[in-house]
Amino acid sequence: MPELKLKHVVSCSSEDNTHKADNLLSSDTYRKWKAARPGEKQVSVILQLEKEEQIHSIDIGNEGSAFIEVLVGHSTSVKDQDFEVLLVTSSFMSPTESRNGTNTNRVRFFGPGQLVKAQSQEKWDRVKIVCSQPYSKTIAYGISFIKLHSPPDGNEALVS
Amino acid sequence: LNHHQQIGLKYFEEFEKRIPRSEMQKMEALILKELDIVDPEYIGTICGSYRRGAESSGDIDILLTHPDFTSQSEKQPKLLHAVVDHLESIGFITDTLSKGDTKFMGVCQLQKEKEEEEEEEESLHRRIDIRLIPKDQYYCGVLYFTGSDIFNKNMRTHALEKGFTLNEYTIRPLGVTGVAGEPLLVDSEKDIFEYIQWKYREPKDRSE
Repeated sequence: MPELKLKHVVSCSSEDNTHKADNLLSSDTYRKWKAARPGEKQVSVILQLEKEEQIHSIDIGNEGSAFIEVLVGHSTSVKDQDFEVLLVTSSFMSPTESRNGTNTNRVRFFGPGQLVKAQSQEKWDRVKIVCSQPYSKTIAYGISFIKLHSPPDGNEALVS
Repeated sequence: LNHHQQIGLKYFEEFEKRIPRSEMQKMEALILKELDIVDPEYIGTICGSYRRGAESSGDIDILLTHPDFTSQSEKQPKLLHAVVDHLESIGFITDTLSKGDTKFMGVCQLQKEKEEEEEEEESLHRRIDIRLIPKDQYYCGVLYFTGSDIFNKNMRTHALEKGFTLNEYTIRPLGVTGVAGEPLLVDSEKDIFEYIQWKYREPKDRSE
């Protein structure tokens, strides 16, 4: 399952001076993206892929978010509303963990069965990640990494 | 007349009568004790207005779960039937209206206590429902079947304002385009209140 290359950050709701959204482009997983301020209701980032691809699975490393949702779109579309849900809003920290600031870096893997089928069968070149943290006003949150994988390619499947 | 109608007719007058709270309490104690005998891992809750502290009830509504049964596992009708069979064997359940994989509808009657046998009148036949619910959906079910209807409606409205959709099975966060997310982990009624940042309310305070 080849990992899809992330080309650049199209936009983000806000970013920390050190933990910039650009960090998500690097494969160094210790570099993360965080919002500029704690207590934001919702933060989001839009990433541009190198080319249109099918997304078969997603790995996400959390950085303080309670919920994370992943949407997909096309760079050719004019409106922001054209994003469609690929991974429905998923839980990364409970309210108690959020208040106590524990387990802030949980990693979750989402396979083909956990993605919205209609969207996982089409090709996309933009990914929008939406994070929220309604249970803590003191942490600036975001994600530490996201990895997108294309379906295993034909040759590989034949060999195995 | 079908079986259902025959039973309805047989106990028509008894089913019309309200169940006093004191009798509900006796039945609750008996049911919970017997559940523990069948398998201590069962969790049972008498819901409805009784749980909210009502002085009388129309029928008995029991929500049942067991850690072996989740929404990811196979159906487990045996978990329901074992309880029904046992309550029948001790003479508490007297008739069956319907018995499915997850819901039993029937009739029950408290037996007279021995020392009172002479003077006390026989208890009335009562309508009883038992629902078997997957463990991960149990507390959303308990919340829903405890009501009241007005309270449920208000709680669902508050949940939506906070970005969640709540029903008798699950609570799920809503995404930016309004798509419901994955069911959230719920291990108590308090968890549900916590997700939607609402102060916990005891069943007795849930009239609206």
